[in-house]
Amino acid sequence: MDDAAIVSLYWARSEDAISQTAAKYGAYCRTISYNILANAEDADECVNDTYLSAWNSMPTHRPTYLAPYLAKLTRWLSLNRLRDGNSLKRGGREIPAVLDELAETLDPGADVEKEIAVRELNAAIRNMLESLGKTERDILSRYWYAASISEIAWKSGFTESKVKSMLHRTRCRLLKQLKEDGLC
Amino acid sequence: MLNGEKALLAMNDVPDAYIESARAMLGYRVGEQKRFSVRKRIIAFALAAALVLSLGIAAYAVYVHWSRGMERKLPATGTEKQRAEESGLSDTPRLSARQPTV
Repeated sequence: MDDAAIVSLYWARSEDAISQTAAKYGAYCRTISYNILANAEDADECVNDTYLSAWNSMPTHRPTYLAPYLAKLTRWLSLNRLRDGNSLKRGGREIPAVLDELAETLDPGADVEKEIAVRELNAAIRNMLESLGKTERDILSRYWYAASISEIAWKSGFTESKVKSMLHRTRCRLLKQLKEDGLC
Repeated sequence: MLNGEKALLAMNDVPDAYIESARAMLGYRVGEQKRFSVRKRIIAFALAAALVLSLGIAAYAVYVHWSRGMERKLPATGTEKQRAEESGLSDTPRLSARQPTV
């Protein structure tokens, strides 16, 4: 079933919408959640929460593509679950390392008095993404999908050290962007 | 909240095209998973078994055809066969010189 038909089911308040979503996107959402939480039960619960959020948000939303829409919901819910349990720092497989990498770039340079708002950070990240090439953007999937460096290296065809250096350069560009925007 | 954590959360709302491109690179599939039914699995297994069996039969037929051809090309006398068998050089029980000849 195509995305438009599934969205129409949500708008018609048909419960088939959930089963169709689960059949088409269940595995994808579960991968995203499991990458973050590293716990099968928690990931399953998060995926169910994703379906509930989708049910509650349609209507009023009518996404053209369901995959990124559901992916964002799943990622948001999974990260919030880690935060609520105060386990962000010791969370899923890659999350502690991902946080260390981001903190290493952003926190030492940031003025403690001048806390950056999430919205401002998002604008800076969007600006930076526009300036990147496709390969560099894809490598940044480490921070979106919480994918491991070895997985990215294997899938992209680069060596792990190359991926690490590309990630480092991209984080430096983000810091530069933040400084240009007067956020750091 | 530290900026590293904020960056992780702020990244959530990036353009859809970026998420899709990264998904394709990582090979995360979407779409209904095709699962073979039990009947199709049995048929596939039977076909694989038949293929292995037919290859075995073909190999045996080739071997028999080749050995008979060699027998015709290089005919050996009864004494030569007996010597060859006694020395362990050949093992041709059906063509053995020790078998009674008609």
